[in-house]
Amino acid sequence: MKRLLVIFTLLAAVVMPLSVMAQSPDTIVIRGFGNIVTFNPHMTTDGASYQAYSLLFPAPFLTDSFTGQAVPGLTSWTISEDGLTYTFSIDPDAVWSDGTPITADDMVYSINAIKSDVDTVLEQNVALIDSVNKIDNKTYEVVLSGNDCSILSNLSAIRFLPAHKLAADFSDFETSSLWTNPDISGGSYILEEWAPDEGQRFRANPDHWAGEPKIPFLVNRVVGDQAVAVQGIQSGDLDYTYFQGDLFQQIADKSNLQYQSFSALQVNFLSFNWADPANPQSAYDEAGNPVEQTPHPIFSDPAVRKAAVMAFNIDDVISTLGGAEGGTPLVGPVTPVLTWAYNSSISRPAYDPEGAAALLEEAGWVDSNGDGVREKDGVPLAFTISYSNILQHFETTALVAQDQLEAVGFDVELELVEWANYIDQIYFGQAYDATPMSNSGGTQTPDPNDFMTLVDSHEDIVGSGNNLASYVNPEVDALIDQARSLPGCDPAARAEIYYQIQQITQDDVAYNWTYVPNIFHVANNRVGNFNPGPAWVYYGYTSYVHEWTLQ
Amino acid sequence: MGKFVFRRVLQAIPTFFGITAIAFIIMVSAPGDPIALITFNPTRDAVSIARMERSLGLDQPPIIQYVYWLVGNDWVMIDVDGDGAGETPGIRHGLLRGDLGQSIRFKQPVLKLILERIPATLQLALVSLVFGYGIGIGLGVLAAVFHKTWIDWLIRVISVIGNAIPPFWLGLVLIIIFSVQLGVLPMGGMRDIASRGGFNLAETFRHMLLPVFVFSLNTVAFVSRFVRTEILEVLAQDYVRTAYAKGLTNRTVWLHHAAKNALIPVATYVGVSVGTLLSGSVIIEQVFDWPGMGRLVVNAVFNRDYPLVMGSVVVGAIMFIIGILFSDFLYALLDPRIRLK
Repeated sequence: MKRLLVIFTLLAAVVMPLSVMAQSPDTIVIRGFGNIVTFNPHMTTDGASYQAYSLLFPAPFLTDSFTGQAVPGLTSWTISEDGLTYTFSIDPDAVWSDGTPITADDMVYSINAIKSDVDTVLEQNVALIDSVNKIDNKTYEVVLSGNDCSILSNLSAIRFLPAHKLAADFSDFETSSLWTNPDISGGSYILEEWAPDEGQRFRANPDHWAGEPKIPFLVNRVVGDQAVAVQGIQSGDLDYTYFQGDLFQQIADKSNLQYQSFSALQVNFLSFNWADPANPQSAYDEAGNPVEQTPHPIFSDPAVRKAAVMAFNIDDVISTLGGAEGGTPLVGPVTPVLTWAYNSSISRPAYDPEGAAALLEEAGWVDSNGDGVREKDGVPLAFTISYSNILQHFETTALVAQDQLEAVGFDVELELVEWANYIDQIYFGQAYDATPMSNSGGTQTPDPNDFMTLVDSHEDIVGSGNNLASYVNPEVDALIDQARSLPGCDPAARAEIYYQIQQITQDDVAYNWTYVPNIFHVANNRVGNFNPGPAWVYYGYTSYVHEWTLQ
Repeated sequence: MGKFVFRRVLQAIPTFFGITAIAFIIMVSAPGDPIALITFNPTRDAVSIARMERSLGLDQPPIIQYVYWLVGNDWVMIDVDGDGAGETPGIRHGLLRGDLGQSIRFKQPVLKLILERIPATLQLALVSLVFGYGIGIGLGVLAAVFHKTWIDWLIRVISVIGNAIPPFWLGLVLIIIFSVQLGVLPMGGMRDIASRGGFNLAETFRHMLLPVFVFSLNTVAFVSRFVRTEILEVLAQDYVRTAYAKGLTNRTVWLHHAAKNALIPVATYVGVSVGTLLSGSVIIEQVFDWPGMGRLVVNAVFNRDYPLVMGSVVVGAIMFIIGILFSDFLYALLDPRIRLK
């Protein structure tokens, strides 16, 4: 017993002096969402990597936190009268951390790397770029092959890269040590250490083009588990992160926290497959001719799709996922964050199970044998919702839909599909009846065009397309093209077109557009100048973190 | 003894390749496609996807993929453009030449990714193993000595709790108590990455306390019951009765006769425990953000990162075989009858 007491005393002696978990006064700790894949901005789309490389390699301009519009930052720009040439002027004093000026060569290199044979994730961003030309050291122009109103959205993802540190022929574009141990920065912070699966530690870049960050050190600390992150923000181990509503509600003690919530820049939906899942086909053949797809046995009937929307109470999903602040019901493929393009005068069909039942009766779907399931011409009103549980709202949507649709005569089976299998078989494979899913656009400066792939028939490609419902409407296709290539790109005129797309896709029940979740940006009270906005698309804070302070 | 060791090592070689072959078959048979995950965001056109498949060798039949993984593909030309004629030489050397390939997701050598994380896993797992066996044996001996007393019952309760509590749940509860409420221990990680100092023993100790406790709890529970049962069984043997009859003291009988023989099966179980360290660390590493192999393996499986999964299988198989060999050697060392057989 005496020995035990001695051991205990020794252990306590080691632990107790360190028992007060002190927050460092000069270091902000931000939740890292996982291990980063690479520091190369062109090679990955994972969020954890974005958190790291966006501190090192600057975007050409900023995204306004509240409007989501592109605003001058490292560059400002002018647009030619024909709308085909964008000329960018770089901050004359901007330099990399090794003292080399940030020049047009850096952006010319960056864009040309994507246009080369190198395999990058930004190929679609340069699809309409005809050429990028250096005018002088601090000026370059981007020439388009056709008018593209979403070009600034696409360009916002293409970051300046230090051309003087990379081979001009792109031979080391994938293999350079710059992507595992970047020793240079043109952003707000400079990397000090990257510990795989632990995080990254940065120090402030005194030569940052927008001014030296006010917080000397920044740490992205990997906290992979959501439940642990909820504890971390309460304990003060983390100074900043964001949560969706269901997780935010789990924070028991908010006394040392400041937070704001905004609609997320995404659209959630329950996809009904318009085509036969037993025979998935693309909308066009290899020669580009339209393909007559075999219709889905029940969802090809507009009355069934509409009834399935009317019998589904989205408010139940929202309240389950975050109470009154869980999110906003959605209409059409434009996210409400893009206020200028979102038609708020359209509303979802009201929750009306009786109306849904009547609609089905009228369309000939009746329960003739009294088993509780309707049928028509021998086809039962039965389908399977295939879902992944990678996000909580997928599962909640599936469960609520099953419960409520069965009440009006559907027979709904649920099928949980592991994520990799889901992407392969369901999302790209189109081998499903119905599935809950979401789309978050994909670029830093958002544009409604980012979301149009959901309803563009040219994206109905088995194996690689985003139009997983096989929704084909030539009128919508034409409107999408019109809104993207409108001469002058007048926002009001474009908005009118997106209003029409919203209305048509809502009337067609292209998808059961469900809701937009709220995102809660949460910071410790010691963080000053914390001013989040709806356009902080998950990691938008990286553009503004240099303005934050620690109190 | 030398022949015995040699024979067992030889037997381990086909076991190793059998494990890799079975793992490979299971992996490629599982639904899901690494290319689909890579091209999910952003989406790519069909031509780009096909090119990616060919360059990664995923267009080949599973048996060819396994052969390439084993012996490399630097002796064949790869048809990247799909015109039916190979134009680019393969770059993989294969497992037999020490090349575990390149991770599809990280685009880095698998060996490098594994070597970065193995020390963390070993640090956590070995300390937990020592702690678990140390406490477990101690409690087991106590339970046997105080057989059918309140001490025995208390240890039984501890053992049941240790077996019943899910490590994931216990980890979260301990984080809430010691990190959030009391603020005396870090909520995770292997060290404080914000700290710019070098290695700090006290800090390492604090970071290890909770994960080691949770990791070792199940071992404590199992070993304590195992030791108790073995000791009680040995105490009923004739040679123990003989020892008492010779007039030996309780202490001598317990330590030199009962405990020594009772611990032989326990010692052999240590080898099995070493072999399962990797799988045991997965959940603990996830909860406590421990930067080890476990998280790497889980993410590799979810991402269908075939080379990384196979690299992890190799490490797991080697650890398991070493563990089993260690058990065999230890058993042979402790019980000469095994060697004679």
